Amino acid sequence: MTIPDARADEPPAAVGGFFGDEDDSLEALPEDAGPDTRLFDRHRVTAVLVAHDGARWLPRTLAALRALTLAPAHVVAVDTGSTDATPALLQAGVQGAVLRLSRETGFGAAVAAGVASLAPLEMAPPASPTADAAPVGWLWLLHDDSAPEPEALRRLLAVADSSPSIAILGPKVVGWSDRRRLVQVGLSMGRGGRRETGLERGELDQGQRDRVHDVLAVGSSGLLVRRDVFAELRGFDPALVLFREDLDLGWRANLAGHRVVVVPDAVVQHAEAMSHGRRRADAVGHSTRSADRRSALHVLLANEPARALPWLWVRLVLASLARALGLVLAKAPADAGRELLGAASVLLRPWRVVAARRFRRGQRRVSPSALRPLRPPRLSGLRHGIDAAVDLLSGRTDLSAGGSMLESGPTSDDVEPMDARGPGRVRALLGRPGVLVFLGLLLVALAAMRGLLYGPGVVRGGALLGAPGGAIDLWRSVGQPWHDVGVGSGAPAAASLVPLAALATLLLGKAVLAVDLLLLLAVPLSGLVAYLLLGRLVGGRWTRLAAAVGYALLPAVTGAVASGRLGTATAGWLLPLAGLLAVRSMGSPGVTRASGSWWAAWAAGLLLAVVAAFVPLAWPVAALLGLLGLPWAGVSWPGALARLFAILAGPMLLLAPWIGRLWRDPALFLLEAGVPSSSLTDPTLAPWSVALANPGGPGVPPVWATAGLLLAGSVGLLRADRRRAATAAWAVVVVGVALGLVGSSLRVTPPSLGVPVPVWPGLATLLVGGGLLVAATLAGQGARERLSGHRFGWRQPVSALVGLLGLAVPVLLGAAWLVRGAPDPLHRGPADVLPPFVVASSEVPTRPRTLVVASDAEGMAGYALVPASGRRIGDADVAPAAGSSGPLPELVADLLAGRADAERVGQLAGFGVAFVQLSAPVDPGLERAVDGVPGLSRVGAPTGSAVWRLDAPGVRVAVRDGDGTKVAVPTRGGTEPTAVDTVIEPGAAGRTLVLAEAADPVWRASLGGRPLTPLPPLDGWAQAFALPESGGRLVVEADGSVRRTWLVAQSVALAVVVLLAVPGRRRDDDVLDDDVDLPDGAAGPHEPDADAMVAP
Amino acid sequence: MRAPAPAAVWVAGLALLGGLVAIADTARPQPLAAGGGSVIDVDRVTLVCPAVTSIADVSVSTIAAAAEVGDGTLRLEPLGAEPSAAPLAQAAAGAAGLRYAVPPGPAAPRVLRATGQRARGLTATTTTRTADGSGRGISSGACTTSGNEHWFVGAGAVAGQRAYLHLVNPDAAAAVVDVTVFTASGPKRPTPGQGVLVAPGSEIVLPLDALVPGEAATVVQVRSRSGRVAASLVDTVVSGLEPGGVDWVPPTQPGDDLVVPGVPPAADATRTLQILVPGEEPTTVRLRLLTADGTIAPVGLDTIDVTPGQLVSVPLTAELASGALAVRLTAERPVVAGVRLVRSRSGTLPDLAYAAAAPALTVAGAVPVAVTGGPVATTLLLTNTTESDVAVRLTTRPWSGAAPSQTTVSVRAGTTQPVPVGVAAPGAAVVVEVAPGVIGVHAGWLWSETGARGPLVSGQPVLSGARQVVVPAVRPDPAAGLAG
Repeated sequence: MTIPDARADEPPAAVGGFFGDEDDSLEALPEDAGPDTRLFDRHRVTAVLVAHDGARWLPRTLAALRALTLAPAHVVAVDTGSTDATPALLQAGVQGAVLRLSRETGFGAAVAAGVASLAPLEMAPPASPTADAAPVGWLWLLHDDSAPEPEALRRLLAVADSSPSIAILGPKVVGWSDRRRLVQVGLSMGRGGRRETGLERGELDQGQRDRVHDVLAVGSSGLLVRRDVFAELRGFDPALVLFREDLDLGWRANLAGHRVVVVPDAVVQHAEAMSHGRRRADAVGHSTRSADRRSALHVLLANEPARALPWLWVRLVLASLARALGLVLAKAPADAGRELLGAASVLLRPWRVVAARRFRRGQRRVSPSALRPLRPPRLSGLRHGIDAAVDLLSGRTDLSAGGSMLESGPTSDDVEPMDARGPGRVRALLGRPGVLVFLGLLLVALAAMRGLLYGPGVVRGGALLGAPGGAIDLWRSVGQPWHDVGVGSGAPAAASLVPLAALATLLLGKAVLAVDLLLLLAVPLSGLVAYLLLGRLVGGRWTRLAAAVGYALLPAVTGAVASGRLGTATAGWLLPLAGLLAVRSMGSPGVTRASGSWWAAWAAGLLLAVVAAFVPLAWPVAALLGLLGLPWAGVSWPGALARLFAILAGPMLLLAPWIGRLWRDPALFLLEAGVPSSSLTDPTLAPWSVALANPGGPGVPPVWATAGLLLAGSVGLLRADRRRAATAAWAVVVVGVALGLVGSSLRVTPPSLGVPVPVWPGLATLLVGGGLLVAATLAGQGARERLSGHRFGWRQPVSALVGLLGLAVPVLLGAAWLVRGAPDPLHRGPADVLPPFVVASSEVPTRPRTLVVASDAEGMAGYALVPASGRRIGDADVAPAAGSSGPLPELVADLLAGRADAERVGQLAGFGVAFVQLSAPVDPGLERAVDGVPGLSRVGAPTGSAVWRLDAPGVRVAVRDGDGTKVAVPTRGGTEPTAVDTVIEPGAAGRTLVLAEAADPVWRASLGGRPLTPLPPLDGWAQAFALPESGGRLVVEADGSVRRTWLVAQSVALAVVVLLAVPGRRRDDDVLDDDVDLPDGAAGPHEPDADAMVAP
Repeated sequence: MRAPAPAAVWVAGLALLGGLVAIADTARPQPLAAGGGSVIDVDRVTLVCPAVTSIADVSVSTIAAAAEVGDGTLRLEPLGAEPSAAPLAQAAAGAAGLRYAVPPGPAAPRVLRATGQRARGLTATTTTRTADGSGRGISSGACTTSGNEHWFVGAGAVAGQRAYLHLVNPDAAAAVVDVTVFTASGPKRPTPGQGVLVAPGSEIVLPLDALVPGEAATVVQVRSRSGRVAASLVDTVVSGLEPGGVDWVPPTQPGDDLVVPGVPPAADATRTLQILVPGEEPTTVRLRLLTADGTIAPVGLDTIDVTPGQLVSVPLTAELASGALAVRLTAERPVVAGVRLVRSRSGTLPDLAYAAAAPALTVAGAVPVAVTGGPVATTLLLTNTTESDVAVRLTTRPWSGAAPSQTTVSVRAGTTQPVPVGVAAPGAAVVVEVAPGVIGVHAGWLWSETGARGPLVSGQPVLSGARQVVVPAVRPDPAAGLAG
């Protein structure tokens, strides 16, 4: 038997590959103006129809067979033990024998049986490709739920006839009821075994895939295969009971040098009943998932080149574990088990792989690398993951289930088909406006943050303290019961450290990178999120684009970046996401699927918790907006209330005990994470500046820059057709303005500062800006069409002017940000100001501190006690209250007045101080005064600053005798500077153990195993213990048991909330049976009820 | 229900916004007051009275302190004394000050400690009259607080001239100081003057000729590296075997508008104005003489270009102005200045006196006059640098406890007014007061005697003792020093 080697005389067809961009080598069919009447006499087609409990679909399938303009010569029906009316239907609908097989028969076996029942083809294959008259036998495989359209077979044959090297052809498979929905146009297999269709989720057929091209495989429904090739390949792999046999066949055909093409002009409608679980796959027992996975791995291992196998094997083991973990997270533990079972049954039985490869031995004629263009790109799996996440967030998840998701947005350009003939995948990705917004804003951010992203040191300044070396340091801060800040603090760690530490862990432990990214990506991410979310509201791409850019560059966002406020910078993009999830969780009124979802509620709560950890005000604002919005939106009461409660309770659960501090002093809700400072706020902020979404402070553009926004936003109110949305947006604006005005009229005294600071209305102006932008977008949508409906008059010029002013806002904001740049007070510098020799001299067993003094613009001197490790992010949030440090303020004042004498300096040493530093720029008066203080010796210091060493340096832990003499006790070192584990000598009676730490019940000390009695605070602040005369092993430490208990409880709460917040795996019965039950045409994308999108 | 018209919604929305803003505008908070420092009354002062180097039988040396009457203590102790030890002298309650006759014996500095109201405006001097012998002359040295920068203009280290720098550390912590000596040829940092360790409660005496031998005129700067010291400089001249006079060089500080008050008359005397620019930039110094008749711009000396670091000597001859006067120097950059006077009549023994730039009086300055025997005449030289005449009130509080007496003197603008002060034994505290808010009255006092072997003279600026101290406002700031 001679098989024509197509590849020998044709250019390798692989160039026009499945994912390739080149046009394929095949000529598309001539534009058919009328019905094709060619008969293709030399081609003998035998249809093999496999049915299994398909009574539901079979009538239409059989009708379609009868309606074919070119019918197959024979039809062989194979029934695999159907229990419904299938056998009868087949008997009635098919002329010829109906094979009855057992229920357990797989598809491959059924086809094999059908083929075996045929008489062998009388004639040999053609001797040469040019032998026109030589007859060719074909098998046409059909499922009981796949209905070919009348021209299907003819068009397949037309292509088959055009090139003898083509051995397998597949039709374009579309939805059973919705013909516009593409199911597959050729198949390929990802490197992890994923069945790749190369289609977007829910991609609509607009002719974009309509070209004949080579693929790795085609689906088995409507698959046309040359009989001789089918025989040469020994049919389907018998090891594959169900699933993937079509992929395997195509792959093998390709490897054998045959061409596999898809003919989009031939259309088959397919219900995919099995993979949607609408009928049982009896051939593989109960678990379709396990069988599917088993088949996928089998096909991979059987067909990939041998040298790739070891690595592939390792990869598949890891991937299977990861998938199982993901399924557990998705609350489908049973599926996870099946997943593992399926993987194990292949991976742990290598002999079966060997057998499968033996089955293929001798078939391969083409190098596997020649098939590379037919395989999906390497990172396609990642891309699928991102797509899934975006879909999930934008509420488009269920679109893939049939395009019937009523609450989905308009078919935005994100799901618009890419031009399949476009110049490449990357370019296609770049062509998405959302990606463009992100990348463009990223470039702007990179330019504005010039000088911040490279160089020595870390990014800090304003409210931001430097990040520590690694994520582990952040986690340690979260866990430790005592913070080495000032005189020490036992306050619960800043809640904002947890998300930061989590992010740093994801970034391989790079805490500095986490902070840099949060600042750098604040603007681009805000833009991206705004763009995606606005898509739910309006259709106009340009309005949406401008609004997204405007939102990203709102003064609150750029101001937050400039002043190092991680909180508002993060809230800029996290809060809208939380809001969207909250809306999703409420369900949409007036829509059939209005029930809302619990997972969205928990996810919204989780995001709200993250935002509130940085900006606690977000919580009351969310409560206010939720309670205002709920009755107004008219959603179902009990369920919505419960979900609102979940959204609001989540943060309370996750942020305890940190948030308890805020409840005790509710004014602190108005501050945000980081260093509180009056210099970061404009104390003379005009009220109308809040209404213009400008919070004042460093890094904000001029107030007038956003004036156009207010104007354009107010026009949104004039849109009677979008009144509901516009009113909602304006409600947010009014709440934001009220909040900002109340906030900026208040002064809050952060405990660590002891003096009141003005409130920065960042979050409030974010709300104002967001609301105005939404209103402006509503105003802009379709404005041109509406205006053109009016006669030319005053409307057109006024609208054009308003539109221009509105569009100028993003441009102005961007220009202002670029010109000013993000730095100042944010800058790049050493994490702390201690000179290296001070740090080195402080890393001794006595663990002394440095008193750092800096005079500010108002002529006040700020001071801080700084340990050798310096100050790190999160420290300012736990800094001890100003009043908790005993006589320290008077000591510092005396020191700076030059009045301090040796006794006062001795008291200063009692705070564990060994060095005094005046930070640059040094006030010469202060420098002279401190120079003269006895007991201080000037030591060399970096230019601009001045450093003194105490002649009798302070220590952290000391034993004080009755007469006041102190003996230093060495500390254990490590990360707890005051922890002691040492042996002390016996001493006189009445001696005390003195810690240079604020008195706190968390301190525990024991001598020889016996706990020591705490004494009243020494000098009004310091922790002291009564020490007996005897010596022995002295142990001092902060008791972390309470903190640990909290951490365990919080971890459990977090795990629970995360589990609840992960969207549940789509249950198969949840996938709408729309393909059957809904009348044709009822499903599919439609114009959205946009107002329902905004209203919760 | 009919939906409202779009325009109505528009108006309502904007009105709501405007209303909110308008309400907020009326309730705008005041900006926070900037926190400055606070001014508090001095409640502790420690003065170091220099030890007299040549106590001989012929010397009578007295320490006198003028203080406010009120709460608190005023004690005189030997340097390094335990706090519990008995004081050398103690001000009685209600006394205007304290007077202590230094007994003959080894030279040792004394420390004057005042607390409470006694500390406010405390001033003290050591006065010594040596009628004969190598140290013949009268001298007066101010008791000074310890600090970290001291300047002395005058003294020299030529043959026959012995000057001693006394560095006293009254504190409980050691001090390390550097001594820089500026001469006509520039600054010198002699090795013996670098890193001088002054132990707590001790005194170090550095002979000037060990630092810069052969320099006729110097400016001495004492700067502490750590801790603080009280410094004083005494100048003694011996020509051959004859005594050439002795006096303490008054301490001074750099400034760009200086007044050297209390320059004695030119009769029988050589007066030399010495100017130094300590910085790096050359400076033109503008000179004015404030005499009893008014302010004079001295011919040819109207402006003087001074090279930085080099000491300039300008003779203040009788041709320029013969009477007692004050010198005012203005420059763009800080300068230090003082006047050295050698008073001698032919055939008699000379004596030295110094004057140095001193700050204007704030409210009150006191001259503790200790009568040391002999026919000593005390003269106050009041200089008014303001634009208008100023009334100055003089209160004399005798040590004896007798009732104080008061007079008021009017000093014309731009003049120097000599006012003789008559003080009966055992002396008195003379308080010089100007009305609050008047800044620009400087005072010096002269102390002279027509001795049998020649005139004796000494002088000193009248100083306002520290009454108040500025304590900077401090607040905890977790991010202190991280702003920049």
